[in-house]
Amino acid sequence: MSHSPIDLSSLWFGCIERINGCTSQNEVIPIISEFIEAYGFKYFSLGHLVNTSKWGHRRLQCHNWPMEYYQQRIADGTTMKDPTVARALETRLSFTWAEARANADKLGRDIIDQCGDWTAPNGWFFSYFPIGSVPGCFSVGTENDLSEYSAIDSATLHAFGLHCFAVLTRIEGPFPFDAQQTARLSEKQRLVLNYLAAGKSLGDTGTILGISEETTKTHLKRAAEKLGTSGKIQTVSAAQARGLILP
Amino acid sequence: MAEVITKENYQLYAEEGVIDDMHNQRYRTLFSDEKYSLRWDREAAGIIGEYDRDDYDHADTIYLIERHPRTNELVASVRFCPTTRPHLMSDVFSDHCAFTGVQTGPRIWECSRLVYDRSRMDKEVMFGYVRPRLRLAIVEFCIESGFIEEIVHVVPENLYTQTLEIYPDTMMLGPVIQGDDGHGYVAAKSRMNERARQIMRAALPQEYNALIYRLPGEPERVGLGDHFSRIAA
Repeated sequence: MSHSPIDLSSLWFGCIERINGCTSQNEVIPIISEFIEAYGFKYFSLGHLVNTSKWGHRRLQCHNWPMEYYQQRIADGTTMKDPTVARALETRLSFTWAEARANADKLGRDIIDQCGDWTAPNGWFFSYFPIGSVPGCFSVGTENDLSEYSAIDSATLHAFGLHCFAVLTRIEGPFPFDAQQTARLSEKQRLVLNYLAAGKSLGDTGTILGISEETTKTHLKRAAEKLGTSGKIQTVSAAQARGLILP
Repeated sequence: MAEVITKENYQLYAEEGVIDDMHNQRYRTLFSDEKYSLRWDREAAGIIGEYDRDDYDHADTIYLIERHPRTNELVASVRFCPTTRPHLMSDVFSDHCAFTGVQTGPRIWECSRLVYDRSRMDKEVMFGYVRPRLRLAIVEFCIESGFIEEIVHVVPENLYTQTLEIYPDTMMLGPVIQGDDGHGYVAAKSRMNERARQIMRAALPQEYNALIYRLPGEPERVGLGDHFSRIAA
């Protein structure tokens, strides 16, 4: 064993409860560090498996590696050439860093070897492929020999990474983050669309809600912007289709 | 609106053919439908005929059902079983609870057999109408009934992220275990609280009522009503 005996139930309950209460990536980092340290692991990276910034969205990524390590990778231009990422996308399985290294070119092997310079020569890489979102990964590094770990240890870290990835996804909002946020209608917008859906005119809707026809039009316009539609019928239909108003 | 079926109004639904329709629908959507079913192993589940009914469909089981907004056909259902009696998690999925042990208690209920009958609805009705309403109904039922604080359920690994989006206070109970269908599954326990209700409510109009409870000889009522509280007590 490469780590002291663990009271898994107590560690699991304690860490998961605290992670569930987190509201930012920064709050999650020390809790993940605590969990992996119990297993003799030193560093982790958790986040999206692919670079979402190319679609204009923020990339979900948190880690506890020293800043110098990341700065070095950015300076070397190797950030997006990590062989573990390529292997995960290709196989959709969990594997050791050594397995990724064995299948990598010279640059890929150098990237894995750099981790050894930071006293984490060995590691596991877990990947997750959620429906309706972006693939995620959890990579953990240690100076211990992985052959000393059991399959249960690996399964526990895999499950822990999945939970943490799901929590981070919830914190950031489901992908694509921006589109999800803009689809939330205000209460007034929802009421206007509900009355329009019931066949009321803009004038009647305004009278019912105690607002002017112009204000009613403004609510409709704002709802249309959020739903990416134009016109009364299209906006009402889109809101119904998304379950935002009564059908 | 989701209709709540308990032992008090079971006969009413049985006479209307809804109970048989639900068990047939479960069979179709889980085992047999060529296009939409999960293709579960019929023999392993002990299915007889084209009817999915097992040991956990008993007098204490509670069902929520959703109907199609236009055709009124049954389109979705879910069942709740008390964990104080033998249930799927204790009998079949205990390996999935290796980290924490099987979670039981009077206020923990098992949520299983959640099915959406895609053959009876198009994509818009499914994702825009039925699913958010049934999800809200599950949370509202747990909170309003007053006796369910947490649910335990088995979730496909690739839907775990979505599970946390709708039930933020969720805990995985054990490792991801591969099922016979080759997909990973995890056991989870989710707290049914205001936080979850507000997430579900945000997707629906504020005035929307999620539950109906009908009793024989009584007018249809929105919400669970006093009678349900007395049964629950």
